[in-house]
Amino acid sequence: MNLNIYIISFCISLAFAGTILYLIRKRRLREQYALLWLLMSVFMMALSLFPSLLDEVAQRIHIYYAPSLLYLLSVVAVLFILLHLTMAVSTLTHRVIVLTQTLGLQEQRIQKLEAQAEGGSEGSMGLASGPAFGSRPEQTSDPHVEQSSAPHSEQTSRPHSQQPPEVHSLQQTGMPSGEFSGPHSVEPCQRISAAASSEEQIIVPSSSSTEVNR
Amino acid sequence: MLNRPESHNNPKVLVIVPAYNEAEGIGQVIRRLREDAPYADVLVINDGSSDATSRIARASGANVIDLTCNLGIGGAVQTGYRYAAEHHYDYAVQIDGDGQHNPCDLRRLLSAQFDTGADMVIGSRFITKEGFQSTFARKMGIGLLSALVTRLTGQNVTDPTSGYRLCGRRAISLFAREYPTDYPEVEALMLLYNRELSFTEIPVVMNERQGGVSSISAMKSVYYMSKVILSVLLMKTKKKRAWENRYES
Repeated sequence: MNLNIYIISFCISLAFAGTILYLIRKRRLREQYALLWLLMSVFMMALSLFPSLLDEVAQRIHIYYAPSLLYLLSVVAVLFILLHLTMAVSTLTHRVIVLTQTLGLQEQRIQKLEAQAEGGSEGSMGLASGPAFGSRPEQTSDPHVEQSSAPHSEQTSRPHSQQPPEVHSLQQTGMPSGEFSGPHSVEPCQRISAAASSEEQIIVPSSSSTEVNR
Repeated sequence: MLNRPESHNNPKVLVIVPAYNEAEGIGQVIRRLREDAPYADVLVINDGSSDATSRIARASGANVIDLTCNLGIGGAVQTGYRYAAEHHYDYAVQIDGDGQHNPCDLRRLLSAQFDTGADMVIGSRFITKEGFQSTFARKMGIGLLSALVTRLTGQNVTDPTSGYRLCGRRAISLFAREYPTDYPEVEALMLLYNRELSFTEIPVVMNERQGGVSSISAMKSVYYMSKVILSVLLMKTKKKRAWENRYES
């Protein structure tokens, strides 16, 4: 009976180790994560082959019921593996964040280049010649861009111009600026604009203020 | 940035607007920005919204970066800083997409930066105690955090959770490299402190949010406080190391 359970547990740990090796071979498990598992299965095998080891160690550290040492060890091992997994997840999260950001930045760059290409071809062919060749990939790739008409695409091609032509139309059609933020903001904004007259040259600072900033 | 003359008299300013499902308010925020701060480029970071945020922002004339998945406010804002670093902006300003912050204060943030030369200028709603002052419970939490940050950095901080901040080049390059992921505002201050960059506060007046919901619900506030306090304390244990102004994209 006693012998039986040890043989069974040895078989289980052997199968466990075999499964892990198989998974590594099939590249379903990365080596860096599998090492901990392999270590654990070796430990399991050792214990099932030499059960007296457990008794000896338990006696030495004054544990009277040897199996409780086994439970303790297994819980600690599982905890370590869980910690290892959480670390792996954290690394992955960080990578996903960086990748998503990079993807967003690249996509925006592509859209800008496409809009530029479109604007350039429009400039050479004239607006009357209809959708230019350069605009075609944009229409297939992005429905939002497709909706925007010619003045929009012109605007996106030069997003950094100081005074975009659109602002005027928005001011005319849009609501008065006071309506936006309710009674709270009107007062401070006026106060600030009154104070701003002395700060008018702020946006055009002298070279001395840029020195401060270095 | 293509047809903008590169000169010190005309600093390039980028306004970063992180937005997650802010379709109600984002259009007005952008319109206000373009009226009150026509010298600044507006960049909306659409943090994986499921509504029309991106389309409305584009139609209002902002540059939009769409993130494929929702990264949370920290990840979204960092995208803006990376953009600012890559495009060599002199200043990057964070403004919430819900209309809490007044674009007309931007000029004052800039002038405070010119005056003090600080690496980051924070708009604080608790210096003059005007405008929307947040709820009681939240003010308690903010008070606790500001006491903590004041203690740890040795510099008086009244509104550590304010998301209205202006960064100079050094801070931009730092944040482009490392920026806390969720609930980043307080931790970012500690990050600046650890990297020996300076920051200062000026009074601003904030509004109640126009639409959408705050990223911090009642249920999450306990998690928020413990997470922020833990990370701030852990940041303090890190060694202070001066930041060298370097960013390779």
